[in-house]
Amino acid sequence: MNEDEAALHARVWEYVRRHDCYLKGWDWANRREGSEKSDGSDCRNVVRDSPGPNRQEAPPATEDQTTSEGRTKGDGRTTKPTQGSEAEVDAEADAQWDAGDMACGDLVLELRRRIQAVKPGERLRLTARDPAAPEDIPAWCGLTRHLLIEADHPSYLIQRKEN
Amino acid sequence: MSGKFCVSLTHAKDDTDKATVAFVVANAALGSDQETVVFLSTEGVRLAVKGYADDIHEDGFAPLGELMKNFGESGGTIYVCSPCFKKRDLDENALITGAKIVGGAKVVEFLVGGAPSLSY
Repeated sequence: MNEDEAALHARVWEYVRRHDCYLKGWDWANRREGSEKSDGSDCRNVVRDSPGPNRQEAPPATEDQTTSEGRTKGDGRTTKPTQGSEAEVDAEADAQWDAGDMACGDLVLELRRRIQAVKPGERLRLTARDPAAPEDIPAWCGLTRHLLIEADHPSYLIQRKEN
Repeated sequence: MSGKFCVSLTHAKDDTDKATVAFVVANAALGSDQETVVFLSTEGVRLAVKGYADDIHEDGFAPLGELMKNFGESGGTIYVCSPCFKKRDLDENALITGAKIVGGAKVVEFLVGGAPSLSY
């Protein structure tokens, strides 16, 4: 593209601020980076889709293992998007966990550990493919008093309770 | 809600399916912030001996040794029936971490406040 970086940044910001969905992601990134820009701009690095002639390729995204069927299998690691990766930024969550096919006691025991790892009031995006999850996750939230913000199987957004 | 939960287990290698599912459910209770006790009696007491559960692995579940370890490390308690343990000449010095030899009164004390209980 060979565009001046400041001009590119200004152009990107101008586009982002007119689209609510992108603005949410931008605000989240600013909070993460500790930006104090009150008008919402900044967000320190503008990531290009393809490298210029003098740039190296961005490192591959950190991903969970994939089964031969092409499904993602949780391996217990928390996935976080890396700069330049194709992983989506979840503007609604402070942490993400793909539980894959974990179920029943294994699932909720590890879920309890994961929710305790975020701060009170913060949100965890859970992906749980267990067919019982649509029943179990709301039941678990009821028992533990963590808030179920969203439930759209296999995706669940859970907010850690304040106390 | 009492906030407590008890799983009573009376099997070991004589029924590895029940032995495994009991700890899966116990972990579900513990993971749901319930103070959880697994009460081992009759054949179930054998699970409280170090190494005994190491070769139990039911299809579709994590190995039983791992389930029991996770249960203990996450704050679960295992009560082991004293007379059942003695009857089988098992070694009190070879108990797994977190298991306690108890009598009936201790189990009753836990349950009498209204703890729900499942039996396997």
